[in-house]
Amino acid sequence: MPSGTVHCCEVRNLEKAFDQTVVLSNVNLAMPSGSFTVLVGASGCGKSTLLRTVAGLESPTSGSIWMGDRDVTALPPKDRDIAMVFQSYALYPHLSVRENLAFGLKLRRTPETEIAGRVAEASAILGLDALLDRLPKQLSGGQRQRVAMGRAIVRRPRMFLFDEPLSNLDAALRAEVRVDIRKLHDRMGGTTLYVTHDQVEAMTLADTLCLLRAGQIEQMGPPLELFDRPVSRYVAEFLGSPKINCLDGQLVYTNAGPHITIGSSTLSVPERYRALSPQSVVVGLRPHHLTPASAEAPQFGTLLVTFYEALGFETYVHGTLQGAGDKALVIRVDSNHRVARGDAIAIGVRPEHTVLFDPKSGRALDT
Amino acid sequence: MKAWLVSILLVVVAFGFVLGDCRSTAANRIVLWHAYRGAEEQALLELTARYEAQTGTTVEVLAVPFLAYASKLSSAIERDQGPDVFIDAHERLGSYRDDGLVVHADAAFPKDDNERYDAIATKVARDDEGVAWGVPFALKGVALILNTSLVEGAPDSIESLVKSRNDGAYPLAYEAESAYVHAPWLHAFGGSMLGPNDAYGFTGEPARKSVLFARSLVSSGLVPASADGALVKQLFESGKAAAIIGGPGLVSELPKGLPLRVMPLPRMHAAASAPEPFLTVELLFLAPRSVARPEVSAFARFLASDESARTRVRAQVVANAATWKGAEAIAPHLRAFHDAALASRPMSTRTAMRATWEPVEQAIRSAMRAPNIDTASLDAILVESARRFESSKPKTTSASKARGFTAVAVTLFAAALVAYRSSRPRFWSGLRASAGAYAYVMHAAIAVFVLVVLPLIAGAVTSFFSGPRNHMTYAGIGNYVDILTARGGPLLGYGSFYRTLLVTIVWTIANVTLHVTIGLALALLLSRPLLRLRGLYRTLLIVPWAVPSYVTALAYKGMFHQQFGAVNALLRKCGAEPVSWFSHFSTAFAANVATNVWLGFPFMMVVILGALTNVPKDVLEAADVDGATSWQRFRHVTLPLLLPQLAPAIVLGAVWTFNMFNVVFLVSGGEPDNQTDILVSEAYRWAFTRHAQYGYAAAYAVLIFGILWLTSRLSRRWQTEVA
Amino acid sequence: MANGGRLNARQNVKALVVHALLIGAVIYALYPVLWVLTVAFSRDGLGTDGFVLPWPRHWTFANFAIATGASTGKSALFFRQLVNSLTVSASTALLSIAIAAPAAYALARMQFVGKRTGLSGLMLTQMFPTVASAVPLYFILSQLHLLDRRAGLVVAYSATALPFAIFQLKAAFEAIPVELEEAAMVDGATRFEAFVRVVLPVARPALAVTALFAFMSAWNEFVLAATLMSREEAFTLPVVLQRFVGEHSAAWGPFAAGSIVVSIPVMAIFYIAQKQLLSGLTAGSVKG
Ligand SMILES: Nc1ncnc2c1ncn2[C@@H]1O[C@H](COP(=O)(O)OP(=O)(O)OP(=O)(O)O)[C@@H](O)[C@H]1O
Ligand SMILES: [Mg+2]
Repeated sequence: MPSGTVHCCEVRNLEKAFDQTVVLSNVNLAMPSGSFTVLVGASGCGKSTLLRTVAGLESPTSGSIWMGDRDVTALPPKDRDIAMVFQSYALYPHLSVRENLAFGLKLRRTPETEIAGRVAEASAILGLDALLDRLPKQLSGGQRQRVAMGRAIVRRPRMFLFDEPLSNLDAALRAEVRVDIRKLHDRMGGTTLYVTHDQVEAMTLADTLCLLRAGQIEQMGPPLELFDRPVSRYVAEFLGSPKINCLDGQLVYTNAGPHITIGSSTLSVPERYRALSPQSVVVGLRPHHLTPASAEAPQFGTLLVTFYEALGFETYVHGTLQGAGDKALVIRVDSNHRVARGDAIAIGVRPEHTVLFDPKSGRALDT
Repeated sequence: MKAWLVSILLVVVAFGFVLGDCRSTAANRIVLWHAYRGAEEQALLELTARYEAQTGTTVEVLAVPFLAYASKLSSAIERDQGPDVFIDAHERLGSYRDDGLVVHADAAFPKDDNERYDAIATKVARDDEGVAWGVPFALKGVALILNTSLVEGAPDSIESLVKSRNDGAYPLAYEAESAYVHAPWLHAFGGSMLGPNDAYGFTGEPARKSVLFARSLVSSGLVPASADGALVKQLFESGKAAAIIGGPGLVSELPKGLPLRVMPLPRMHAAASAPEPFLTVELLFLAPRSVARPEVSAFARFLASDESARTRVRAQVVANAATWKGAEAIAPHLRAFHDAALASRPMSTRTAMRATWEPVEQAIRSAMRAPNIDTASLDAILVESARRFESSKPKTTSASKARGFTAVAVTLFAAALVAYRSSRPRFWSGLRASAGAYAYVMHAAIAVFVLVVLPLIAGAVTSFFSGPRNHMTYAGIGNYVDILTARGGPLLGYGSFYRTLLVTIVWTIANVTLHVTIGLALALLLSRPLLRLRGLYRTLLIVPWAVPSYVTALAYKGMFHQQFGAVNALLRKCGAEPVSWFSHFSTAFAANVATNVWLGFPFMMVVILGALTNVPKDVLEAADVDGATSWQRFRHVTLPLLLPQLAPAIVLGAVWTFNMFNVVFLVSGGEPDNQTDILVSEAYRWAFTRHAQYGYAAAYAVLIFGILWLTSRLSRRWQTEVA
Repeated sequence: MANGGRLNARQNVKALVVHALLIGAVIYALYPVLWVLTVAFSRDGLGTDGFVLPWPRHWTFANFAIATGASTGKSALFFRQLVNSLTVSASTALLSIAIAAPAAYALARMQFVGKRTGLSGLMLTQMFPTVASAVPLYFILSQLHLLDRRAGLVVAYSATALPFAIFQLKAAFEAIPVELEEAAMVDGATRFEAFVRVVLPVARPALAVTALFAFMSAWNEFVLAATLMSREEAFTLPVVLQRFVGEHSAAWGPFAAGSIVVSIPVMAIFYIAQKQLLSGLTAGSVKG
């Protein structure tokens, strides 16, 4: 095989169709051993399907899945050495927590003493000791979630699969478990494929972030790369909250060199776009890159404040860009910066934070 | 907890099978079948034990329930699995000969023995050529049974018996609407149920007079109306009837110590000759496989011998003449039954005899229940009953035996199906992909096909034949044409296919609606949180399901009796007029429905209780939070979640109810005038009364199947159109 | 507090109404059985006073002695027949579940050629009256050498009970979340193991109810039992019971007594097992 390194798991040219509807196409994904890959994407884009195909719960229409140097495409899930945590947890309702944890090991005829040891270890890690003899129906949502994870880790599989495991938890718990999951991953040393549509989870957990769009991989790479160097307007808009500001502008060359005009405002052009010819562009400006004008962030326009959200540690200010046909815009300011409706704020941006997209294709213009 | 239950189950099964099947292995055994019980059975067992001791032969005796006797005999003997000797009534000889179930018994009943038995029995056991078809064994017939504490002496006529005073008890009670007990009157007036050449005999002057005579007994109020056997017995036991008409079997079921006396039926002033009851001679029949086994004939001779008769006469009216002449102490009632038997008329052995009961009883019932009756209306009733007898006769059709028909038809059908299927594009690849699933369904498919589908197909094939079982002739679609044209009668006349179909539909709808409603209501009540005594209620409410339905259905029949039923007693207590439940279609139908609903609601209740546990609590709570009233919650949340789970039970329940014949049989018996019969009960009548026309019954079955199939197709189409 | 009191009073009234309704239903269910009981316990059968509340006038256990063979010294035979009934019915329950469950699972979860045909065929078998099929069934069982064996009865009963059992279990399996099986398969189970170790335990109540139905159908059947078995030691109780009914007369007392004896085990089983029969077990398997 051409790829030099052997990955823990590799998806090659995967295509999956249910009857006539194509759900995944041309998916190529390589997960090195020990990596933490997060799949994100809009609802219905095929994340779960991809995960389930990797698990062997769905068989691909074409393409193959490799684990190590083995083609596992035709193997049933049980022979793939994986563990999966379902969004609904799927705990066995007729088994106690202890039996739920031991189930997979029993199926593999692991000796009793080893089962006991591994269950004890997992329950210690996850703090399940007090719950071991309860039935799933006697547990809270968070506890069930931990049992589901415990069931995965006792098995010490080569690979962990998670399908939105935190979506049923409250915000605080979610933040806590999120950290736990990453710690667990580092401790167990397995390879993880993780589906979520929560971008905080995606950004914080991932070594590699993979964004799916309508069944195809839109962009894949380290999370910050996707965040800072999105390959498309879609990626830029998908990641980051509040959403990136996208303004229609023109790349023009004047005597003063290239710059971008948005209505009556003007922006300087980052270094990497200098080679572009004059054209219509979409200008992407992340809210937290837009600040009150300063030396590093020279003013490019004036924001007329319509309303603001003070979150305590920062404030999002919504308004319109003066002279740009009332373009809506969001910026982030420090919370000590008092604003009021009707204020006019001079805003600036550091030139390197500007990203440009082709208005028609939505592709980033620096590639 | 559950593992505990399963292990008990397994232990029971294991224990049961450890006991082993008791199949006999003795090489030279003789197998004897009978339907006796009580003292008669004891006597028989005593004799066989004696025979075994004397000869060293192994005799296997099997007592078969009467209800299953005939069908078991024919199935078993045809497969050579049956008895060597069996005891049965002589009147079945005709059909047994037709079906080849019996052989000559000349070895067991040589000509020299003729004098040994009562002449009347000898005559019955031999055909016109003098060939013996059985060995005379016992005589069964009815006589008058008197309660001596209520009647003194022997009444010299029926009329004087009826006029005698006896402390407010009925002077006489008998099954006034049974053709069998009515027959003595008919015979007294010179009639007979079946004339020469299988002509219908319940016609003309004798029939008319006999009916009017019976009617006069009942309408005088001195004889209870519409009494069945159980009621007659009850009346006698409780001193409410001074005299009844019944056989030795009835006497043996009466409580000991009842002061009674038996005598032949006294004469009637109204008729010239004496009332002559029907006589049944029980014969020892030899099955075909006993041919060339002299030891079987020897055994039969032993059982029928005078020596054995001395033992048997303790319990039955033996057919041995010497026994009665002897000086032995014989129970007086048996002696009286013997006297009565000698003055009785042996029933005809013709197969057509069986087909007379229904029309005769029909005529008697109509005439007895009509508020007023004149010559014209009585004649109309008799004409109608004769018409029914005629129309139930098998039609003779071309005789071409179609052998292998079944196999050919099935193979062709399967081949056509496969051909049709394999012509579709993805058939073969689909088949390969299905292999895994087939491993799961194979066992069920084979079991259902072999044990359910094949018998049904074989049954369906019979529908193209007509005539009795062993002489079926190919009739094409003749049976269907007959049924669908109502055998030439009016299309919506009583007993016609279309009218019965209507009744069946109403019957199904009424029952299923009530089953589901009651079951659902009770299940909802029982699943209320915090209900106390839940377990007790649940258990008590399944009682109707747990008690064998045969006995409870008969209890229901008793409850609806006009004079003595609890329902009318209740009505009377409430000051309402008692209702003659089985005289009108609507009330008889209601009685059937009441019984069937009672029998069926626990099943629905259990199914619904199970389904209710699958309705998620949080959804119900969500509805509560949304401010739904409990009705709204039920209507918009519980019910929609419940229905898909109940669908199989409801659909199957409807199908089963459509084919639920035994309630109709046991409760209304089709009364009045077969109006409450449903399609299957019609089918059963064709198969087991009315000349035993299996082909006809099978055609009914196929038509029922067709109707249900069409309904399900239409309803599915309708559902998809709505959706 | 006053408010709470009113609420309590209302709840009490409600509870009272519920109990009144249930007691009414119990009376409806038991009333005809009271007649059967009266006949069973009476020395002289049912009176004919047209009474509304039947009650034995002269109590006796003689009918039970006759029904159970105690009066003729045949109680060992009766016990044997009771064991037969239990064995045959319990085996029918087990066998029909064993055959129906995998089939129902495949019908609920898998796609295969012939699935729709099979399902409608199964339904069709229920539509065909059995009026003309007893003789062919006897023939088939004799070809299979299953005549006169309790195993033959078990096989015949199970086959008859199969269609309903399959429909019932199919509906139950469809109600179980697919994730449970998927989780098991990821945990290392084959499809069949997932079915046996996860689906079956979770469907326990449905299995129990279906088994009860099969048990009951075998427990009360007598025509087939009387036809297939040719030794008294091999008869089941309903056959023995039916022997009390003759052509022209019937021994109602022993028949009623026997019917009660026959129904007691069923009610005992139901009473003991009702928790298992009627408890929801899927709670807690998925979501919070
Ligand atoms: N068994 C199936 N049959 C047909 N279509 C399916 C099936 N399973 C999924 N799909 C379709 O495939 C597409 C992708 O589904 P998938 O479950 O992978 O989405 P997802 O990305 O996980 O979405 P979500 O974030 O909402 O869970 C959807 O359009 C869905 O409708
Ligand atoms: Mg998903």
